[in-house]
Amino acid sequence: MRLFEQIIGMSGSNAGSNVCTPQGLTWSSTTGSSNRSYFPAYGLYDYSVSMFIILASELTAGMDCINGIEYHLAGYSTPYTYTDQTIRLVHTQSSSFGTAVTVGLANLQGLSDDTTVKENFNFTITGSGFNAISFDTPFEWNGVDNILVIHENKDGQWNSGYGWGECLSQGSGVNRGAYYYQDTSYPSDSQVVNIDNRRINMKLTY
Amino acid sequence: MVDIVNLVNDLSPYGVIELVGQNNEKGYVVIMFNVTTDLQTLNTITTNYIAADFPEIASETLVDGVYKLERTSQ
Repeated sequence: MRLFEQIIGMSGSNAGSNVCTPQGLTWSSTTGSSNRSYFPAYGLYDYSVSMFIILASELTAGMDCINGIEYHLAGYSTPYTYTDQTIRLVHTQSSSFGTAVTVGLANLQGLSDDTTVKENFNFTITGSGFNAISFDTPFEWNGVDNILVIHENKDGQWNSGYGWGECLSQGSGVNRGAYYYQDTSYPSDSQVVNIDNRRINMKLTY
Repeated sequence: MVDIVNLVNDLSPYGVIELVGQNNEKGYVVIMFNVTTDLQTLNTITTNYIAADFPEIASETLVDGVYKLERTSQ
């Protein structure tokens, strides 16, 4: 009887919490030295969005609880703050961005587990190098699919002194970066994004 | 070295200049409001003065009378 109550209690507790446990480790992407001002956010415009695909084959087995990201940045007049930033991580079976991918993720394959890992936060860049962002909600990688990183910049103002993202340049047609930027309002879901064979150097903590 | 004086002089007839100058060690920015000409005209002027030092166009838009250009050195 006591054992039965204990099992019921544990089951209820687990059902109420869906939080994985990170291991305190860091994964680093292959790095490059190509510069892109619009990755991950573009200070010249009021609003921007950037997307990156990380292949499952690049990741390390056991990275099942991702709780932070670091972007490789340079050239900023520091401190430089982007307000109202949101980051989402999504499983995808696409390995690169094709034509006609939209802000609303049309024409990407096998999307699942769209997770807002950090929402409406201020991102302050403090210096050149890797700048870290800790997630409020971890992303549980399924160990099989690729990961789509979406960085939404809804700052609403342009400001000088912005810098650039240090990027890995890949072969022609290997487009693992995508972006769009504009003034006045955040791009609509139907807006087709520009594709890029550069992807910002990044680290994931898990 | 960008000739900023003559660049500003050539741009001035076509709108209100908000910013002309180097944004960081690799980027040069032009921002204008109330633009009264087309993108090609502004591109011709800015290319003439800036492209030698900052050959790559990172972005160039003219939307709702607002011109924004960033050229970079890589």
